[in-house]
Amino acid sequence: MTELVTIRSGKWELSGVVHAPSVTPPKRVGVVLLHENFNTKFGTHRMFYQVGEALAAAGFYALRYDNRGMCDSPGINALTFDARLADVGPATQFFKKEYRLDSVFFWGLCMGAAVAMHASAAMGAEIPKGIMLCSLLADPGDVSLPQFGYGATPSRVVAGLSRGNVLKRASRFVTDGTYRKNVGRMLKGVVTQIAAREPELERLKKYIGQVGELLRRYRGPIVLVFGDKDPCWTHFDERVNANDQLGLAKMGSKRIFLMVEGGDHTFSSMKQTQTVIEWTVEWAQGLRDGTAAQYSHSKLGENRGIPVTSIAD
Amino acid sequence: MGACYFGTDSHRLYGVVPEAVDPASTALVFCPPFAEEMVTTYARFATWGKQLEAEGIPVVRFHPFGTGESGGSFGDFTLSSAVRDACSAGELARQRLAPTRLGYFGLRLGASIAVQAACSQPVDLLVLWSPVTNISQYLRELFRGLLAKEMVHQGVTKVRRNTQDMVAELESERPVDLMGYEFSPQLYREMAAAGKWPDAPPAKHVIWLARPAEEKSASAIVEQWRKSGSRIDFAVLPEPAFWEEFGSTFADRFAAKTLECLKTSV
Repeated sequence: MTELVTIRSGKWELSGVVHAPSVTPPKRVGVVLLHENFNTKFGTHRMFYQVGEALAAAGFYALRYDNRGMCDSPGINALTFDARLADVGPATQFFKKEYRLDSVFFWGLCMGAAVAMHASAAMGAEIPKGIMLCSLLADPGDVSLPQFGYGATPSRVVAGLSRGNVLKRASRFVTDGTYRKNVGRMLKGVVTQIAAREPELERLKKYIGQVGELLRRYRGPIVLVFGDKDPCWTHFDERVNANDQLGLAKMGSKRIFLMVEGGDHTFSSMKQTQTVIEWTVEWAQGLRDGTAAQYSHSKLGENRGIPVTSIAD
Repeated sequence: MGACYFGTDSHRLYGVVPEAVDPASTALVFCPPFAEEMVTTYARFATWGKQLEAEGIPVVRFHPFGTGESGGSFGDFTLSSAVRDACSAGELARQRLAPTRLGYFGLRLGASIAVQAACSQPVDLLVLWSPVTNISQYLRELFRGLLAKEMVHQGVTKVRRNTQDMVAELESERPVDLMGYEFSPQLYREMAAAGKWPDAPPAKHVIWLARPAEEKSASAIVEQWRKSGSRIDFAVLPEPAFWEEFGSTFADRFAAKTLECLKTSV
């Protein structure tokens, strides 16, 4: 059962949807679902809608909402990370109060996962009792990817240009007219890209760069879900937590990694989506009941000393 | 502006209706594009809808059954149900906004659905952005796009299936997984059998905006439609395929031209 709700966040109103269980459960537990970047509350291939429905069928409440001035929420506002953070607190308070919840968990995908980490650090006593992070965006280099729509960053361009043998390049520049022409075209493109970049990009990179540290500091349990074909997983493994520099391996069952084999960034097949949904329900049930979740169709392995659970063959 | 459910208990639809304008001379019902194109463009069309509302042109947005916030699963989505849903959204717009002129506005497959909805429930105006004029060809492009995406995003190195395999599955009454969307045999049959566009425009005024790649196929229909005496504003503008990815880039030329045509037609 879904209900449309309106949430007050400062001077803004947020348009939201609550999935409620058909029978009032003995423990009233809610999950706030935090969506990706330029997206709406039902999510890519309707994943958030499906997660909400599955949670409600398992006896949980689930809240999805559009940020201030975005999508179905009234008004117009350019989406910023600050704006997203500002909406989490009021949305969670509304959810807890209106649905008389005993506790709240956070669930986020991609940038929504990064929002979950930042918001939980700022919530004090209202801190969520557990967090599930799917395709966590934790490498600041990833936010300048074209799909985030923020344009190029000077540092990445400079890093790209400085690769290779500089002397060889200089000599080719002097002797090869076509090379000179192409360099000119490339520089024009780079300047255009940099001129088109948005100031939000630099702020966003800073926020995303802090996610790893927040992951280390948060005292509650966190489950991280990645697709093994997702570049965000590679970047997390090789840059953010290289050689387990965040010390997640020492945190035992408080940091669990689940790996969707063949999974991409948004788990865009029905099978992958279903796996993530099943793990979400098992995670929420385990947290609610104080039991260790047994994740379906999974096998345990190791990655740099960190237990990693992936789908069983 | 407010979100609401409409339709019936067994066929619940979701819509977003602007505050009633007193009186709205022109109102539009936005028919979203297909599957992931609806998701990638959602925020941008929501924003543009709000901007049009500020210009005195309220836009009702709705989610066809099986998509977005509406009931059902994606396997329930069919062309015929999407056309009926567009008509229901048209009724909602008439009830809530009582406009002097009502039109359907669609992007890509949403534009094709808008045309079919106008054929079954006449409206005054049609706004078509890059409409899909050959649905069976679009179907093949969807399948080919899926295979390409599997290779790029999921690192599939061996071709596990081709478009013929997918067609065979659907013809055996088995659904196909289209990047997380359940593509039903019924939808396949409807798309494969989709016929020609109507010989005459199903509205008194049509605004048809195409990209250069679409000019040839669009012109043939536009020329035919012009013979009917309806007003056809047709323009070819160099827009990117902005529905292919998330981002803040919008079809500014399409938007400006649409607003210009809407304002001059009042």
